[in-house]
Amino acid sequence: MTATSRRRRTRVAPAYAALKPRRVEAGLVLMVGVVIVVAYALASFGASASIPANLGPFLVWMLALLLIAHLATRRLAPGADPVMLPMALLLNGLGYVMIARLSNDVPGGSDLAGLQSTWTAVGIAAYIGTLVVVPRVRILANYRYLLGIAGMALLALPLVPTFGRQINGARIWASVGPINFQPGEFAKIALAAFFAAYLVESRELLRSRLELRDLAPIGVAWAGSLAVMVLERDLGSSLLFFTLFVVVLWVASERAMFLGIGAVLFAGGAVLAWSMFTHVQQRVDIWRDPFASPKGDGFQIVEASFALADGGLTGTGLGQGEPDRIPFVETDFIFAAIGEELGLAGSTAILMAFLVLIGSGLRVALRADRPFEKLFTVGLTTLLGVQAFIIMGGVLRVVPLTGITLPFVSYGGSSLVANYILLALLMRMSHEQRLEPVPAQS
Amino acid sequence: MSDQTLIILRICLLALVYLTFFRVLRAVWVELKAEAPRVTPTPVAVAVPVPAPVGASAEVLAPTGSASGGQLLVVAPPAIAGSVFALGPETTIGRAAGCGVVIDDPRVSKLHVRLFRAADTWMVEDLGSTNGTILNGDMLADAHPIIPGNRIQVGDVVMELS
Repeated sequence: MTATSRRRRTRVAPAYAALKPRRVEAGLVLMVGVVIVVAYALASFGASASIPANLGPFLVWMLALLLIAHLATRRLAPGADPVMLPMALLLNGLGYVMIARLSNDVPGGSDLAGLQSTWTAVGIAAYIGTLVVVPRVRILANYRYLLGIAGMALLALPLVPTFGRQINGARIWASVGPINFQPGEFAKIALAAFFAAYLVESRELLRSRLELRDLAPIGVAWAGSLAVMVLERDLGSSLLFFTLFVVVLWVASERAMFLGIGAVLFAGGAVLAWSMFTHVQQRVDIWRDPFASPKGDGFQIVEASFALADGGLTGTGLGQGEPDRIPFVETDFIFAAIGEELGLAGSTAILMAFLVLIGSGLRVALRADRPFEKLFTVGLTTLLGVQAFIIMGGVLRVVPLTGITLPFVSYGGSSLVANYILLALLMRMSHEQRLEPVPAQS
Repeated sequence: MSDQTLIILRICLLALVYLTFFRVLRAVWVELKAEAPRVTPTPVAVAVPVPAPVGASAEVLAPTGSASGGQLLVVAPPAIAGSVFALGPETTIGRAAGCGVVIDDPRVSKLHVRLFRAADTWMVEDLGSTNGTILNGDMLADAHPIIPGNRIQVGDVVMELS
């Protein structure tokens, strides 16, 4: 390389300048805003044939949130991927419209819309806060043990008598003072950072030769996941954490064998859980034949299936279906509500938004030069994808149902805030890559 | 409001959603196209091959760098010891043809390590290589300052900054 080309590089600088990712993002955010407003108005037309009384304030409030998220990104991570934020906002917006529409019909749900809009604001504040606090993703590797301990402590928090709360069968809630939250949602991010940093250190060993002791970490992760399932009765999180660990281990070691070992351990754990716990057997029975007791155990899944069938290709129309018949429709079953009122086209849109998010996340991981950043972004993307799969698959009866939120869409503060933090970390990583030209060129 | 109007509005909403996805896909497409040329390594502008010693395990090629102060002196293996590479503001070392210093050794990653100028000091940073870089006998973990006299080892090749 000659001296002239070197000088030119330093002057032109940011590699993203020509791509104008923020201008693309501005256009997409605007379109997402229009979609949300139209959907909100339509939901009100459908339900009561009138323009919603609070359309004005809603418009201002929502557009302000979208604008703040976009402007903060413009300032804090100008080189980041242009499609991830609009996709997250679209999911959040469609979820909000559905929650607002449900709040009129779900018993005791009159506060849901207000709370969810507050949580969205908190989520976007957390997104901005994360971008401010984490200037470089790799600094998280310095706090690996702190994050690991924090993650495990958060996971165990619901089991502590004074803080833990058991709600709807699963002991996954903690309450500190007046605030109730699901610590597991935050634990997943801390543990993704810990797993990534830990496996960077030991990946040399994992790659060279395989001895029995190299299998210890996967065994510990397996036992930990089982403990979560047994003690907190939370199948979804248990599966989520185990998948996270196996995928990160696979990428770190570059050995497909670990996927096989993970699958065998998972199968073993599943059989063990099935034979030992009645609530697991019940879930599997419902999955295999929900119509065995359509008014009893299978009620939720049966109603969800009817809702999806009723939706057809383009849905019954927002506000015109009866998704409120499904228990927990605003959290676990929001995908069924969208499938009913927006049909196959609407639920496919949700799937596509997740696909775009996951695709962008994996692209960030592929382009990462340093091992920690690669593993961490793979972990974060895996969390998002697997969580979405577990619950959408459960609603569609692809897999047995395990209660977990649909990221960005479901009602729930912990889930929204945690997923916005996750998004901010991916955006930060993406921005760092655009700042530093790939060394291959220099 | 009549049912027909609602149906039309619902179709419009879905069309709007898919229009958004169309623009997303177009944005991704534009970006991928812009990225494509970055993948191909730029050929080294001027490469001066060091006289290749017979039976050497590593073959080292060097570009004529600008005189920005630093030099790398090859210390080992003996076959190529004494070769000198001038360092640019950023010099990459690896197996790929586009690197500033090319070491043709299977234990060296395509893009193994880089040396770059930061403020008043030289920094050395491993670029996620498979077998790692050794700085003064220790495995290099993160970007690390390097001063004249320090030695880095990549595969079998030991180089000293001077």
